[in-house]
Amino acid sequence: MSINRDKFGALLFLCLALIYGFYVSDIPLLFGDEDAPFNARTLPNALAWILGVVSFIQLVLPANQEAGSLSYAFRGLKWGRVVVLAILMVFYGLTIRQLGFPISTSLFLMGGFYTLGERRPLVLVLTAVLVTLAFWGLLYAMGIYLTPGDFFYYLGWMSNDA
Amino acid sequence: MLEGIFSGLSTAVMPINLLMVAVGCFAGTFIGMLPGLGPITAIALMIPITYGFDPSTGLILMAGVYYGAIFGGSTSSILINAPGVAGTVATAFDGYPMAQKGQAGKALAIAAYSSFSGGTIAAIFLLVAAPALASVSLSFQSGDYFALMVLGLTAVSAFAGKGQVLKAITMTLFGIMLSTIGTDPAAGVARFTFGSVDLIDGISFLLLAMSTFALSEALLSILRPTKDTRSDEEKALKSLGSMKLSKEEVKIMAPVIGRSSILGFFTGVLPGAGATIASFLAYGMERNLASAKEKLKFGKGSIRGLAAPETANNAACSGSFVPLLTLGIPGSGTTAVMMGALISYGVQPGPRLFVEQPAVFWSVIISMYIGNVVLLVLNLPLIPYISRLLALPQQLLVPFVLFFSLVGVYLVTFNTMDIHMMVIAAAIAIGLRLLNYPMAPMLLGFILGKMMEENLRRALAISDGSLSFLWERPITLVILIISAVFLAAPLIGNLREWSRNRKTIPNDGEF
Repeated sequence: MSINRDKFGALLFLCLALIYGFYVSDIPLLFGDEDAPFNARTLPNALAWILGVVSFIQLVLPANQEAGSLSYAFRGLKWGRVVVLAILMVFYGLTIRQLGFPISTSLFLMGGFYTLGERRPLVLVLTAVLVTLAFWGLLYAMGIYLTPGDFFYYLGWMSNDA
Repeated sequence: MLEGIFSGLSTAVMPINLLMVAVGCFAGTFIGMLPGLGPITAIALMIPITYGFDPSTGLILMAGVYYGAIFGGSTSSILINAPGVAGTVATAFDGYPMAQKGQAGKALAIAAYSSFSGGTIAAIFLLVAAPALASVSLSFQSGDYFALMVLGLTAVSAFAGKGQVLKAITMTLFGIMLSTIGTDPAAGVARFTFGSVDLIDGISFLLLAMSTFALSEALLSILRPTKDTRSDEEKALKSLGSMKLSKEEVKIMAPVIGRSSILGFFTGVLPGAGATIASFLAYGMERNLASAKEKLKFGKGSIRGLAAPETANNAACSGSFVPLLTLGIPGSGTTAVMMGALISYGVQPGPRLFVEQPAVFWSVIISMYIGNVVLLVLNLPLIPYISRLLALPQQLLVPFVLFFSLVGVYLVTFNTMDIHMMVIAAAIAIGLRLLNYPMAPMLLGFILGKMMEENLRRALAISDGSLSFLWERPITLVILIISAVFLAAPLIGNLREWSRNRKTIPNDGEF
């Protein structure tokens, strides 16, 4: 027995409705708001109920055969490269301040090109560096200055005096 | 009104705005031609660029991108039977057979002339309809707005594809749920922030749009690789053939364009229905109106079959601006993205826009004419050159899309947490896309959620906590009844189908 794709989705949203509904009670209310016709909890409460009912209906209605099984939907997908790209994006977020925009962007682009199969060193490095510098220059021209990175300040190559 | 038109005209013909229309059309055409990337992604990628501009210039650029993306989608539909955009699927029915007959140039010209005419006629309708509706909507009260938003959200679900109604409703609700994260504007209390400072202001609209469209579409193209059609496209462009149309062909096209423009515009005005539905409706209408002999040509390279959907999809693009500009309610995912951008410029779309910022209102309408001219005069002859950009290999293109999406959001807040949130949101979006959940209703729910809550709160406060505001004013009641019909009709249809299937197909034990 394999689970239908639509049913699995409905199950996920039913769980979401329950969790969301559970946390509605965490929303603090101002004094006197408890009896107000509309307070900070009204819409979230309604949403939790409606989503719960909609996903429950989807769950109990006969399965849509065209949707296929869950395993079929996830079959043949190339997860490896997507996971590497996701890691690269996280790395980009972690290093953009420390290494600065030019270096972290160049590294991110080079990593992305390499992950997707680009192996020519000249294309790999030159495209990444040139696009990064061109974009950095464009931002500078538009009045947006992105620092070269905390790393350079730690090394003493740049100063905060300016 | 004339004063407004002149003010809009003077804004639209400013060199920077003319340049932006052209840039928007080019960029849109390029992105629209790329497999997997649609107009929402094209517009979302442009938003960070537009932050440095006036609201009018930004909106003009985005309108150009919208038109360009639809036109770019038509090009790949005609040349290689691979529509880049859902709104141009019907274009391939007769466009591709024409291209196979060696008349690709003619098919592209028909598409361009039809798009131009459809867009222009619809822009004239917009010129008349938008101010009229804007003045009527000035009398709208909170309750009416609440009802209109309910209508917008239910219509999106109602126009979702077969078997997708419940999923569209689910995604709309999910979008509204996401909009509740952050500080409640009325009470000032934090909701669902779980103590995180980064969530105090809620989830940024741009972050959500970028990660659920640009990022997830780019990553999906890697995850689920499709046949790279760009070399086929380049090959097809090398043997375009003549782009000239004969008098007879123009005579055949003219009435089709007239009919499809009207149909397309009004379909576009309806919330939820957009270019896709308009193009299919126009194609179906032309086929029904055709003589028995003409009918046989449909699907084999009929001029009427190509002109109808092309006219209608562009007319619908203009039509979809009516609810956005006059009521402040986006009728589609694309206009929802534009609305999000406008709000971030500090411009609130709605009836007051027409009164308070006539330059923005009118310049967008005027720039639609200019956009259509640019598409016809510049894009059509330059299609072979624009398509050369497609030669950019995918291993370079995808990291660029990722980079522009990430940096576009980062440049607004300078908060690295946003980059990490984008990765999480994109991962969720990919999962939902694989489960076949539509993303546009979520975006619409997110945009309308906050406004809906605000209007409901105000309406309840005015009516002293009573729900009577829902039926006291005839307009509110009518809008709510239409919403109920929109919601019930497809659900009843689905239930009937399911019960029929249940009788005929035995359950094979699948849960």
